[in-house]
Amino acid sequence: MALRRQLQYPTNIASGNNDYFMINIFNYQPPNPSGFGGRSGGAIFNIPGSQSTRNLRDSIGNIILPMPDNITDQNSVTWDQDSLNSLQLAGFNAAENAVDSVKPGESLQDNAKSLATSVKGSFDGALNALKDPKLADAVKKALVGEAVNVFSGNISANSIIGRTTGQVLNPNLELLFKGVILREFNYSFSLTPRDANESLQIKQIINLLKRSMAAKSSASSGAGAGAFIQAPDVFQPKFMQGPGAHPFLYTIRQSALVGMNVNYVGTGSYATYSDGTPVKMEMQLRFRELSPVYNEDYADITDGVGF
Amino acid sequence: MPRQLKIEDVKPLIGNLSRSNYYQVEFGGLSSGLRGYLGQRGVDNSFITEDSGLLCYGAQLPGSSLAGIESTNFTGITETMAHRRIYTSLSLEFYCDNRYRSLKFFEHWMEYAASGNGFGNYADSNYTYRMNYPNDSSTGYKCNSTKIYKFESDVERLMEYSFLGLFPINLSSTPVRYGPNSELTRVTCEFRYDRYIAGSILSYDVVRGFGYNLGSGLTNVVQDGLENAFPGLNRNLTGITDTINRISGPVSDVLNLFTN
Repeated sequence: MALRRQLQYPTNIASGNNDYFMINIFNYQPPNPSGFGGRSGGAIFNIPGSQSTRNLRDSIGNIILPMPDNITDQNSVTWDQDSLNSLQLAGFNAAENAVDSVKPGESLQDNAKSLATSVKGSFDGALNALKDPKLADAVKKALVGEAVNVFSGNISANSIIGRTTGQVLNPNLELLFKGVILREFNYSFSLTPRDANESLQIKQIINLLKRSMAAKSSASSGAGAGAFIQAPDVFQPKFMQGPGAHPFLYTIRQSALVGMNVNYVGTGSYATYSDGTPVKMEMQLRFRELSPVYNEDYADITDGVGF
Repeated sequence: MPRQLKIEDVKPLIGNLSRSNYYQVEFGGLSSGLRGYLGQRGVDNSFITEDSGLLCYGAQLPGSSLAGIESTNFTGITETMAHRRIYTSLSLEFYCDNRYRSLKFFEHWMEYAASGNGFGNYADSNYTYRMNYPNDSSTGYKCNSTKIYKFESDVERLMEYSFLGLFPINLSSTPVRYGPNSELTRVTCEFRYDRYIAGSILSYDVVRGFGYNLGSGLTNVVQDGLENAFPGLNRNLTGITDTINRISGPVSDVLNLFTN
Protein backbone atom coordinates (compact mmCIF):
# COMPACT_ATOMS: atom_id res chain seq x y z
CA MET A 1 0.00 0.00 0.00
CA ALA A 2 1.26 3.48 -0.82
CA LEU A 3 2.56 5.66 1.97
CA ARG A 4 -0.14 7.68 3.69
CA ARG A 5 0.20 11.32 2.66
CA GLN A 6 -0.43 14.37 4.83
CA LEU A 7 -0.76 17.65 3.03
CA GLN A 8 -1.49 21.04 4.50
CA TYR A 9 -2.12 24.53 3.18
CA PRO A 10 -1.50 27.15 4.55
CA THR A 11 1.50 26.22 6.66
CA ASN A 12 0.58 25.83 10.35
CA ILE A 13 -3.13 26.45 9.76
CA ALA A 14 -3.89 23.43 11.96
CA SER A 15 -1.84 24.63 14.91
CA GLY A 16 -3.22 26.35 17.99
CA ASN A 17 -6.94 26.91 18.16
CA ASN A 18 -7.44 27.63 14.46
CA ASP A 19 -10.48 26.49 12.53
CA TYR A 20 -9.74 24.48 9.41
CA PHE A 21 -11.19 21.94 6.99
CA MET A 22 -9.83 18.41 6.90
CA ILE A 23 -10.40 15.77 4.25
CA ASN A 24 -9.46 12.16 4.98
CA ILE A 25 -9.23 9.85 1.99
CA PHE A 26 -9.99 6.13 2.13
CA ASN A 27 -10.18 3.20 -0.23
CA TYR A 28 -13.75 2.47 -1.21
CA GLN A 29 -15.34 -0.57 0.44
CA PRO A 30 -18.47 -1.95 -1.28
CA PRO A 31 -21.57 -1.94 0.93
CA ASN A 32 -22.23 -5.68 0.56
CA PRO A 33 -18.89 -7.36 -0.06
CA SER A 34 -20.27 -10.85 0.69
CA GLY A 35 -23.18 -10.46 -1.73
CA PHE A 36 -26.83 -11.20 -1.07
CA GLY A 37 -26.87 -15.00 -1.35
CA GLY A 38 -27.65 -17.28 1.58
CA ARG A 39 -30.26 -14.98 3.10
CA SER A 40 -33.55 -16.55 4.09
CA GLY A 41 -36.56 -15.82 6.20
CA GLY A 42 -36.41 -12.52 8.05
CA ALA A 43 -32.77 -11.98 7.11
CA ILE A 44 -33.65 -11.43 3.47
CA PHE A 45 -34.59 -7.84 4.30
CA ASN A 46 -31.70 -7.29 6.65
CA ILE A 47 -29.73 -4.86 4.48
CA PRO A 48 -28.33 -2.08 6.63
CA GLY A 49 -29.42 1.32 5.38
CA SER A 50 -26.80 3.38 7.13
CA GLN A 51 -23.18 2.30 6.79
CA SER A 52 -21.39 5.50 7.54
CA THR A 53 -18.27 3.86 8.90
CA ARG A 54 -17.74 1.01 6.50
CA ASN A 55 -14.87 2.74 4.66
CA LEU A 56 -12.84 3.79 7.68
CA ARG A 57 -9.99 1.51 6.72
CA ASP A 58 -7.06 1.79 4.39
CA SER A 59 -6.51 5.51 4.77
CA ILE A 60 -4.68 6.94 1.79
CA GLY A 61 -3.98 10.36 3.22
CA ASN A 62 -5.42 13.50 4.64
CA ILE A 63 -5.56 17.06 3.43
CA ILE A 64 -5.84 20.17 5.57
CA LEU A 65 -7.26 23.30 4.00
CA PRO A 66 -8.48 26.65 5.33
CA MET A 67 -12.17 27.07 6.08
CA PRO A 68 -14.05 27.29 2.78
CA ASP A 69 -15.49 30.59 1.61
CA ASN A 70 -19.02 29.20 1.68
CA ILE A 71 -20.32 26.89 4.39
CA THR A 72 -23.91 25.78 3.98
CA ASP A 73 -25.86 22.61 4.51
CA GLN A 74 -29.16 21.46 3.11
CA ASN A 75 -31.05 18.57 4.66
CA SER A 76 -33.98 17.26 2.62
CA VAL A 77 -36.40 14.37 2.55
CA THR A 78 -38.99 13.65 -0.09
CA TRP A 79 -42.63 14.14 0.72
CA ASP A 80 -45.33 14.24 -1.96
CA GLN A 81 -49.08 14.67 -2.08
CA ASP A 82 -51.07 11.50 -2.49
CA SER A 83 -54.79 10.81 -3.06
CA LEU A 84 -56.94 7.76 -2.57
CA ASN A 85 -60.65 8.14 -3.46
CA SER A 86 -63.56 5.93 -2.41
CA LEU A 87 -63.64 3.95 -5.66
CA GLN A 88 -59.96 3.13 -5.40
CA LEU A 89 -60.45 2.13 -1.79
CA ALA A 90 -63.44 -0.06 -2.74
CA GLY A 91 -61.36 -1.66 -5.48
CA PHE A 92 -58.59 -2.33 -3.00
CA ASN A 93 -61.04 -3.95 -0.58
CA ALA A 94 -62.53 -6.07 -3.35
CA ALA A 95 -59.11 -7.28 -4.41
CA GLU A 96 -58.14 -8.02 -0.83
CA ASN A 97 -61.37 -10.00 -0.24
CA ALA A 98 -60.90 -11.82 -3.52
CA VAL A 99 -57.41 -12.91 -2.54
CA ASP A 100 -58.76 -14.07 0.82
CA SER A 101 -61.57 -16.03 -0.90
CA VAL A 102 -59.19 -18.23 -2.83
CA LYS A 103 -58.75 -21.53 -0.97
CA PRO A 104 -55.74 -23.66 -1.68
CA GLY A 105 -56.74 -27.21 -2.58
CA GLU A 106 -60.14 -26.35 -4.07
CA SER A 107 -60.82 -26.68 -7.77
CA LEU A 108 -60.18 -23.82 -10.15
CA GLN A 109 -63.87 -23.62 -10.98
CA ASP A 110 -64.88 -23.32 -7.32
CA ASN A 111 -62.23 -20.69 -6.67
CA ALA A 112 -63.37 -18.64 -9.71
CA LYS A 113 -66.93 -18.78 -8.49
CA SER A 114 -66.06 -17.66 -4.98
CA LEU A 115 -63.82 -14.95 -6.45
CA ALA A 116 -66.65 -13.49 -8.52
CA THR A 117 -69.03 -13.68 -5.57
CA SER A 118 -66.52 -11.92 -3.37
CA VAL A 119 -65.92 -9.11 -5.85
CA LYS A 120 -69.63 -8.56 -6.43
CA GLY A 121 -70.28 -8.61 -2.71
CA SER A 122 -67.56 -6.06 -2.08
CA PHE A 123 -68.87 -3.59 -4.65
CA ASP A 124 -72.50 -4.11 -3.60
CA GLY A 125 -71.45 -3.36 -0.06
CA ALA A 126 -69.68 -0.22 -1.14
CA LEU A 127 -72.65 1.00 -3.16
CA ASN A 128 -75.09 0.27 -0.35
CA ALA A 129 -72.86 2.26 1.99
CA LEU A 130 -73.51 5.35 -0.11
CA LYS A 131 -77.21 5.28 0.99
CA ASP A 132 -78.32 7.71 -1.72
CA PRO A 133 -79.69 5.59 -4.65
CA LYS A 134 -79.00 8.39 -7.14
CA LEU A 135 -75.41 8.67 -6.01
CA ALA A 136 -75.02 4.91 -6.03
CA ASP A 137 -76.28 4.85 -9.59
CA ALA A 138 -73.74 7.52 -10.57
CA VAL A 139 -70.93 5.57 -8.97
CA LYS A 140 -72.09 2.45 -10.81
CA LYS A 141 -71.92 4.38 -14.10
CA ALA A 142 -68.48 5.64 -13.17
CA LEU A 143 -67.35 2.08 -12.64
CA VAL A 144 -68.71 1.16 -16.05
CA GLY A 145 -66.80 4.14 -17.46
CA GLU A 146 -63.61 2.88 -15.87
CA ALA A 147 -64.29 -0.48 -17.45
CA VAL A 148 -64.66 1.20 -20.84
CA ASN A 149 -61.23 2.77 -20.31
CA VAL A 150 -59.78 -0.70 -20.61
CA PHE A 151 -60.76 -0.49 -24.31
CA SER A 152 -58.89 2.82 -24.78
CA GLY A 153 -61.86 5.01 -23.87
CA ASN A 154 -61.08 8.23 -21.99
CA ILE A 155 -63.84 8.45 -19.44
CA SER A 156 -63.14 9.84 -15.99
CA ALA A 157 -65.11 8.58 -13.01
CA ASN A 158 -65.24 12.11 -11.65
CA SER A 159 -66.57 13.30 -15.00
CA ILE A 160 -69.53 10.89 -14.87
CA ILE A 161 -70.29 11.61 -11.21
CA GLY A 162 -69.85 15.35 -11.63
CA ARG A 163 -72.19 15.52 -14.62
CA THR A 164 -74.88 13.50 -12.87
CA THR A 165 -74.66 14.69 -9.24
CA GLY A 166 -72.54 17.88 -9.22
CA GLN A 167 -70.04 16.23 -6.90
CA VAL A 168 -66.62 14.64 -7.25
CA LEU A 169 -65.01 11.80 -5.39
CA ASN A 170 -63.24 12.85 -2.22
CA PRO A 171 -59.53 12.43 -3.10
CA ASN A 172 -58.51 12.18 0.59
CA LEU A 173 -55.49 14.27 -0.32
CA GLU A 174 -52.55 14.00 2.07
CA LEU A 175 -48.80 14.66 2.08
CA LEU A 176 -47.00 11.34 2.41
CA PHE A 177 -43.36 10.49 3.01
CA LYS A 178 -41.71 9.17 -0.13
CA GLY A 179 -38.08 8.61 0.78
CA VAL A 180 -34.66 10.02 1.68
CA ILE A 181 -32.22 12.10 -0.33
CA LEU A 182 -28.43 12.03 -0.34
CA ARG A 183 -26.92 15.38 0.65
CA GLU A 184 -24.49 17.33 -1.52
CA PHE A 185 -21.95 19.97 -0.46
CA ASN A 186 -20.11 22.57 -2.50
CA TYR A 187 -17.00 24.23 -1.11
CA SER A 188 -14.76 26.95 -2.55
CA PHE A 189 -11.17 27.59 -1.52
CA SER A 190 -8.86 30.45 -2.44
CA LEU A 191 -5.31 29.17 -2.77
CA THR A 192 -2.60 31.85 -2.61
CA PRO A 193 0.83 30.34 -1.90
CA ARG A 194 3.13 32.59 0.11
CA ASP A 195 6.34 30.64 -0.40
CA ALA A 196 7.72 27.74 -2.39
CA ASN A 197 6.74 25.18 0.25
CA GLU A 198 3.10 26.23 0.20
CA SER A 199 3.20 26.11 -3.59
CA LEU A 200 4.37 22.49 -3.43
CA GLN A 201 1.67 21.60 -0.92
CA ILE A 202 -1.05 23.12 -3.12
CA LYS A 203 0.23 21.29 -6.17
CA GLN A 204 0.19 17.98 -4.31
CA ILE A 205 -3.24 18.63 -2.80
CA ILE A 206 -4.77 19.23 -6.24
CA ASN A 207 -2.97 16.19 -7.61
CA LEU A 208 -4.11 13.90 -4.77
CA LEU A 209 -7.73 15.04 -5.00
CA LYS A 210 -7.81 14.53 -8.76
CA ARG A 211 -6.14 11.14 -8.47
CA SER A 212 -8.44 9.96 -5.68
CA MET A 213 -11.67 11.00 -7.39
CA ALA A 214 -10.77 9.13 -10.58
CA ALA A 215 -12.14 5.63 -11.26
CA LYS A 216 -9.66 2.77 -11.22
CA SER A 217 -9.29 -0.03 -13.73
CA SER A 218 -9.74 -3.19 -11.66
CA ALA A 219 -7.15 -5.36 -13.41
CA SER A 220 -4.36 -4.29 -15.69
CA SER A 221 -3.74 -7.71 -17.20
CA GLY A 222 -5.22 -11.19 -17.27
CA ALA A 223 -8.63 -12.42 -18.24
CA GLY A 224 -10.58 -9.68 -16.45
CA ALA A 225 -8.61 -6.78 -17.86
CA GLY A 226 -10.89 -4.09 -19.19
CA ALA A 227 -14.10 -5.84 -18.21
CA PHE A 228 -14.72 -3.77 -15.07
CA ILE A 229 -13.75 -0.47 -13.59
CA GLN A 230 -13.46 0.08 -9.86
CA ALA A 231 -14.95 2.82 -7.70
CA PRO A 232 -12.75 5.84 -6.87
CA ASP A 233 -11.59 6.56 -3.34
CA VAL A 234 -14.03 8.04 -0.84
CA PHE A 235 -13.62 11.09 1.35
CA GLN A 236 -14.41 12.08 4.91
CA PRO A 237 -14.63 15.89 5.03
CA LYS A 238 -14.64 17.43 8.50
CA PHE A 239 -14.69 20.88 10.06
CA MET A 240 -12.05 21.12 12.76
CA GLN A 241 -11.05 23.45 15.57
CA GLY A 242 -7.59 22.79 16.92
CA PRO A 243 -7.13 19.06 17.43
CA GLY A 244 -10.85 18.25 17.68
CA ALA A 245 -14.06 18.48 15.72
CA HIS A 246 -15.56 21.93 15.30
CA PRO A 247 -17.89 22.56 18.25
CA PHE A 248 -20.65 24.19 16.22
CA LEU A 249 -20.62 23.32 12.53
CA TYR A 250 -22.30 20.29 11.02
CA THR A 251 -20.95 16.79 10.52
CA ILE A 252 -20.52 15.37 7.05
CA ARG A 253 -20.77 11.65 6.32
CA GLN A 254 -18.42 9.79 4.10
CA SER A 255 -18.73 11.20 0.64
CA ALA A 256 -17.75 10.78 -2.94
CA LEU A 257 -16.00 13.67 -4.61
CA VAL A 258 -18.31 14.04 -7.59
CA GLY A 259 -16.91 17.29 -8.97
CA MET A 260 -13.78 19.41 -8.79
CA ASN A 261 -13.08 22.71 -10.54
CA VAL A 262 -9.83 24.63 -10.32
CA ASN A 263 -9.37 28.11 -11.75
CA TYR A 264 -5.65 28.78 -12.15
CA VAL A 265 -6.09 32.44 -13.07
CA GLY A 266 -7.70 33.65 -9.87
CA THR A 267 -6.02 37.05 -10.29
CA GLY A 268 -8.11 37.79 -13.38
CA SER A 269 -5.08 37.86 -15.66
CA TYR A 270 -2.32 35.26 -15.86
CA ALA A 271 0.36 35.84 -13.21
CA THR A 272 2.85 33.41 -11.72
CA TYR A 273 5.72 33.15 -9.29
CA SER A 274 9.27 32.38 -10.31
CA ASP A 275 8.65 28.61 -10.47
CA GLY A 276 5.49 28.95 -12.57
CA THR A 277 3.02 28.59 -9.69
CA PRO A 278 -0.06 30.76 -10.30
CA VAL A 279 -0.32 33.64 -7.85
CA LYS A 280 -3.93 32.79 -7.00
CA MET A 281 -6.04 29.70 -7.63
CA GLU A 282 -9.64 28.98 -6.81
CA MET A 283 -10.68 25.40 -6.13
CA GLN A 284 -14.26 24.17 -5.89
CA LEU A 285 -15.08 20.73 -4.52
CA ARG A 286 -18.44 19.01 -4.77
CA PHE A 287 -19.01 16.18 -2.29
CA ARG A 288 -22.02 13.82 -2.17
CA GLU A 289 -22.64 11.63 0.86
CA LEU A 290 -22.60 7.85 0.38
CA SER A 291 -25.55 7.16 2.66
CA PRO A 292 -28.55 9.13 3.87
CA VAL A 293 -28.86 10.56 7.35
CA TYR A 294 -31.33 8.83 9.69
CA ASN A 295 -32.77 9.98 12.98
CA GLU A 296 -30.83 7.30 14.84
CA ASP A 297 -27.52 8.67 13.55
CA TYR A 298 -27.90 11.69 15.84
CA ALA A 299 -27.36 9.41 18.83
CA ASP A 300 -23.65 9.44 17.97
CA ILE A 301 -23.47 13.23 17.71
CA THR A 302 -23.03 14.93 21.07
CA ASP A 303 -21.81 18.34 19.91
CA GLY A 304 -22.59 20.88 17.24
CA VAL A 305 -25.68 21.24 15.09
CA GLY A 306 -25.66 17.58 14.02
CA PHE A 307 -25.58 16.48 10.41
CA MET B 1 -24.30 66.99 36.75
CA PRO B 2 -21.34 68.98 35.41
CA ARG B 3 -18.41 69.48 37.72
CA GLN B 4 -17.11 72.94 38.46
CA LEU B 5 -13.43 72.90 37.63
CA LYS B 6 -10.57 75.26 38.33
CA ILE B 7 -7.57 75.80 36.13
CA GLU B 8 -5.50 73.77 38.58
CA ASP B 9 -7.81 70.81 38.05
CA VAL B 10 -7.30 70.64 34.30
CA LYS B 11 -3.73 71.84 34.09
CA PRO B 12 -2.14 68.40 34.68
CA LEU B 13 -4.23 67.02 31.86
CA ILE B 14 -4.21 69.84 29.33
CA GLY B 15 -0.60 70.68 30.07
CA ASN B 16 0.60 67.21 29.19
CA LEU B 17 -0.77 66.63 25.74
CA SER B 18 1.11 64.63 23.20
CA ARG B 19 3.02 66.49 20.50
CA SER B 20 2.73 65.10 16.99
CA ASN B 21 6.30 65.92 16.01
CA TYR B 22 8.01 63.27 18.13
CA TYR B 23 8.03 59.94 16.33
CA GLN B 24 10.38 57.58 14.60
CA VAL B 25 9.97 55.23 11.67
CA GLU B 26 12.25 52.21 11.51
CA PHE B 27 12.34 49.76 8.62
CA GLY B 28 13.52 46.25 9.42
CA GLY B 29 13.08 42.56 8.77
CA LEU B 30 13.74 42.69 5.03
CA SER B 31 14.79 39.36 3.53
CA SER B 32 18.42 38.81 2.63
CA GLY B 33 17.47 38.64 -1.04
CA LEU B 34 15.74 42.01 -0.92
CA ARG B 35 18.56 43.62 1.07
CA GLY B 36 21.11 42.33 -1.43
CA TYR B 37 19.03 43.59 -4.35
CA LEU B 38 18.75 47.05 -2.79
CA GLY B 39 22.43 47.04 -1.78
CA GLN B 40 23.48 46.50 -5.40
CA ARG B 41 21.57 49.68 -6.21
CA GLY B 42 23.20 51.85 -3.58
CA VAL B 43 20.62 51.42 -0.84
CA ASP B 44 22.72 49.95 1.91
CA ASN B 45 21.48 48.34 5.08
CA SER B 46 22.30 51.29 7.34
CA PHE B 47 20.20 53.56 5.14
CA ILE B 48 17.28 51.10 5.32
CA THR B 49 17.36 50.61 9.09
CA GLU B 50 18.40 54.10 10.22
CA ASP B 51 18.50 56.96 7.73
CA SER B 52 15.31 56.16 5.83
CA GLY B 53 13.37 56.52 9.05
CA LEU B 54 15.02 59.82 9.85
CA LEU B 55 14.15 61.15 6.41
CA CYS B 56 10.49 60.35 7.02
CA TYR B 57 9.08 63.80 7.67
CA GLY B 58 5.43 62.79 7.64
CA ALA B 59 3.99 59.56 8.94
CA GLN B 60 0.79 58.15 10.35
CA LEU B 61 0.11 56.07 13.35
CA PRO B 62 -1.77 53.14 11.85
CA GLY B 63 -5.50 52.78 12.06
CA SER B 64 -8.00 50.01 11.64
CA SER B 65 -11.71 49.63 11.36
CA LEU B 66 -14.24 46.97 12.26
CA ALA B 67 -16.56 45.68 9.58
CA GLY B 68 -20.03 45.11 10.96
CA ILE B 69 -23.16 43.14 10.22
CA GLU B 70 -26.59 44.39 11.10
CA SER B 71 -29.37 42.60 12.93
CA THR B 72 -32.98 43.79 12.88
CA ASN B 73 -34.52 41.10 15.07
CA PHE B 74 -36.06 43.70 17.39
CA THR B 75 -38.67 45.76 15.57
CA GLY B 76 -37.39 49.22 14.79
CA ILE B 77 -33.96 48.57 16.27
CA THR B 78 -30.81 47.93 14.27
CA GLU B 79 -28.06 46.20 16.19
CA THR B 80 -24.56 46.06 14.76
CA MET B 81 -22.00 43.36 15.45
CA ALA B 82 -18.38 43.43 14.33
CA HIS B 83 -17.15 40.45 12.33
CA ARG B 84 -13.80 41.50 10.84
CA ARG B 85 -10.99 43.91 11.64
CA ILE B 86 -9.73 45.78 8.62
CA TYR B 87 -6.29 47.40 8.59
CA THR B 88 -5.99 50.56 6.56
CA SER B 89 -2.98 51.19 4.36
CA LEU B 90 -0.10 53.34 5.59
CA SER B 91 1.24 56.39 3.79
CA LEU B 92 4.71 57.76 4.60
CA GLU B 93 6.40 60.91 3.25
CA PHE B 94 10.16 61.20 2.92
CA TYR B 95 12.75 63.79 2.09
CA CYS B 96 15.00 62.57 -0.69
CA ASP B 97 18.75 62.76 -0.10
CA ASN B 98 21.05 63.86 -2.91
CA ARG B 99 22.00 60.25 -3.61
CA TYR B 100 18.31 59.53 -4.29
CA ARG B 101 18.34 56.65 -1.88
CA SER B 102 14.77 57.32 -0.69
CA LEU B 103 13.56 57.05 -4.27
CA LYS B 104 15.71 54.02 -5.01
CA PHE B 105 14.61 52.30 -1.81
CA PHE B 106 10.96 52.11 -2.75
CA GLU B 107 11.40 52.00 -6.53
CA HIS B 108 13.63 48.94 -6.37
CA TRP B 109 11.67 47.34 -3.53
CA MET B 110 8.61 47.25 -5.79
CA GLU B 111 10.76 46.19 -8.73
CA TYR B 112 12.11 43.32 -6.64
CA ALA B 113 8.57 42.07 -5.91
CA ALA B 114 8.07 41.64 -9.65
CA SER B 115 11.50 40.19 -10.43
CA GLY B 116 10.80 36.47 -10.16
CA ASN B 117 12.09 36.01 -13.72
CA GLY B 118 15.51 37.45 -12.92
CA PHE B 119 16.95 40.92 -13.05
CA GLY B 120 18.95 41.33 -16.21
CA ASN B 121 16.58 41.43 -19.14
CA TYR B 122 14.51 44.54 -18.56
CA ALA B 123 15.29 46.03 -21.96
CA ASP B 124 14.57 42.89 -23.98
CA SER B 125 11.74 43.16 -26.49
CA ASN B 126 10.19 39.94 -25.18
CA TYR B 127 10.52 40.95 -21.51
CA THR B 128 7.99 39.46 -19.14
CA TYR B 129 8.11 39.18 -15.41
CA ARG B 130 7.00 36.83 -12.68
CA MET B 131 6.44 37.65 -9.05
CA ASN B 132 8.66 36.74 -6.12
CA TYR B 133 7.02 34.84 -3.29
CA PRO B 134 5.99 37.36 -0.64
CA ASN B 135 6.87 35.38 2.51
CA ASP B 136 9.89 33.32 1.52
CA SER B 137 12.37 33.62 4.36
CA SER B 138 15.33 34.38 2.08
CA THR B 139 13.76 35.95 -1.01
CA GLY B 140 10.39 37.32 0.13
CA TYR B 141 9.41 40.93 -0.50
CA LYS B 142 7.38 41.43 2.69
CA CYS B 143 9.08 42.58 5.89
CA ASN B 144 8.03 41.83 9.43
CA SER B 145 9.93 44.20 11.70
CA THR B 146 9.03 47.67 10.53
CA LYS B 147 8.04 49.86 13.46
CA ILE B 148 6.71 53.29 14.20
CA TYR B 149 7.49 54.73 17.65
CA LYS B 150 5.55 57.61 19.15
CA PHE B 151 7.05 59.35 22.16
CA GLU B 152 7.43 62.74 23.77
CA SER B 153 10.46 64.93 24.23
CA ASP B 154 11.40 63.28 27.52
CA VAL B 155 11.18 59.78 26.00
CA GLU B 156 9.70 58.45 29.21
CA ARG B 157 6.73 56.95 27.54
CA LEU B 158 6.56 55.10 24.31
CA MET B 159 3.84 53.89 22.01
CA GLU B 160 5.11 51.25 19.64
CA TYR B 161 3.54 49.83 16.48
CA SER B 162 5.01 46.74 14.81
CA PHE B 163 3.93 45.94 11.26
CA LEU B 164 3.77 42.38 9.94
CA GLY B 165 3.89 41.63 6.21
CA LEU B 166 4.55 45.21 5.14
CA PHE B 167 5.49 46.13 1.57
CA PRO B 168 5.07 49.17 -0.70
CA ILE B 169 2.13 49.16 -3.07
CA ASN B 170 2.11 52.68 -4.45
CA LEU B 171 5.07 54.99 -4.99
CA SER B 172 3.47 58.30 -5.91
CA SER B 173 4.83 60.35 -8.76
CA THR B 174 7.43 62.68 -7.30
CA PRO B 175 6.92 66.30 -8.34
CA VAL B 176 9.96 68.30 -9.49
CA ARG B 177 9.87 71.80 -10.98
CA TYR B 178 11.90 74.94 -11.59
CA GLY B 179 11.68 77.24 -8.58
CA PRO B 180 13.50 78.42 -5.49
CA ASN B 181 16.64 76.55 -4.54
CA SER B 182 15.25 75.83 -1.09
CA GLU B 183 12.55 73.40 -2.25
CA LEU B 184 13.26 69.80 -1.31
CA THR B 185 12.37 66.70 -3.27
CA ARG B 186 9.77 64.71 -1.41
CA VAL B 187 8.81 61.07 -1.92
CA THR B 188 5.47 59.63 -0.87
CA CYS B 189 4.91 55.91 -0.65
CA GLU B 190 1.87 53.88 0.40
CA PHE B 191 2.29 50.56 2.17
CA ARG B 192 0.06 47.59 2.78
CA TYR B 193 0.54 45.16 5.61
CA ASP B 194 -1.16 42.06 6.98
CA ARG B 195 -1.65 43.47 10.47
CA TYR B 196 0.04 45.51 13.14
CA ILE B 197 0.57 45.04 16.86
CA ALA B 198 0.18 47.98 19.22
CA GLY B 199 2.60 47.94 22.13
CA SER B 200 5.96 46.43 22.65
CA ILE B 201 6.55 42.89 21.40
CA LEU B 202 9.99 42.65 22.95
CA SER B 203 10.10 39.44 24.94
CA TYR B 204 11.63 41.34 27.87
CA ASP B 205 8.66 43.73 27.98
CA VAL B 206 6.26 40.84 27.65
CA VAL B 207 7.90 39.03 30.56
CA ARG B 208 7.76 42.18 32.69
CA GLY B 209 4.06 42.54 31.94
CA PHE B 210 4.51 45.63 29.76
CA GLY B 211 4.12 43.94 26.39
CA TYR B 212 1.19 44.88 24.14
CA ASN B 213 0.55 48.02 26.23
CA LEU B 214 -0.26 45.93 29.28
CA GLY B 215 0.32 46.77 32.92
CA SER B 216 1.15 50.34 33.80
CA GLY B 217 1.93 49.96 30.18
CA LEU B 218 2.98 53.51 29.61
CA THR B 219 6.61 52.76 29.25
CA ASN B 220 8.92 50.17 27.94
CA VAL B 221 11.95 52.31 28.65
CA VAL B 222 14.50 50.00 30.22
CA GLN B 223 16.76 50.55 33.17
CA ASP B 224 20.45 51.14 32.92
CA GLY B 225 22.63 48.16 33.59
CA LEU B 226 20.23 45.61 32.18
CA GLU B 227 21.78 45.72 28.75
CA ASN B 228 24.48 43.27 29.78
CA ALA B 229 21.91 40.82 31.08
CA PHE B 230 19.62 41.30 28.11
CA PRO B 231 21.68 42.17 25.03
CA GLY B 232 19.83 44.37 22.57
CA LEU B 233 17.46 45.60 25.20
CA ASN B 234 18.44 49.24 24.96
CA ARG B 235 18.55 49.32 21.20
CA ASN B 236 15.15 50.92 20.77
CA LEU B 237 15.74 53.53 23.42
CA THR B 238 19.18 54.37 22.08
CA GLY B 239 17.84 54.78 18.60
CA ILE B 240 15.11 57.10 19.73
CA THR B 241 17.31 59.33 21.88
CA ASP B 242 19.78 59.44 19.02
CA THR B 243 17.00 60.63 16.72
CA ILE B 244 16.02 63.37 19.12
CA ASN B 245 19.61 64.50 19.55
CA ARG B 246 20.21 64.63 15.83
CA ILE B 247 16.97 66.43 15.00
CA SER B 248 17.21 68.88 17.90
CA GLY B 249 20.94 69.51 17.49
CA PRO B 250 22.62 72.46 15.82
CA VAL B 251 20.94 73.67 12.63
CA SER B 252 23.96 72.71 10.60
CA ASP B 253 23.70 69.11 11.83
CA VAL B 254 20.04 68.89 10.98
CA LEU B 255 20.58 70.36 7.54
CA ASN B 256 23.45 67.99 7.04
CA LEU B 257 21.19 65.10 7.89
CA PHE B 258 18.42 66.05 5.49
CA THR B 259 20.48 67.29 2.57
CA ASN B 260 23.08 64.54 2.32
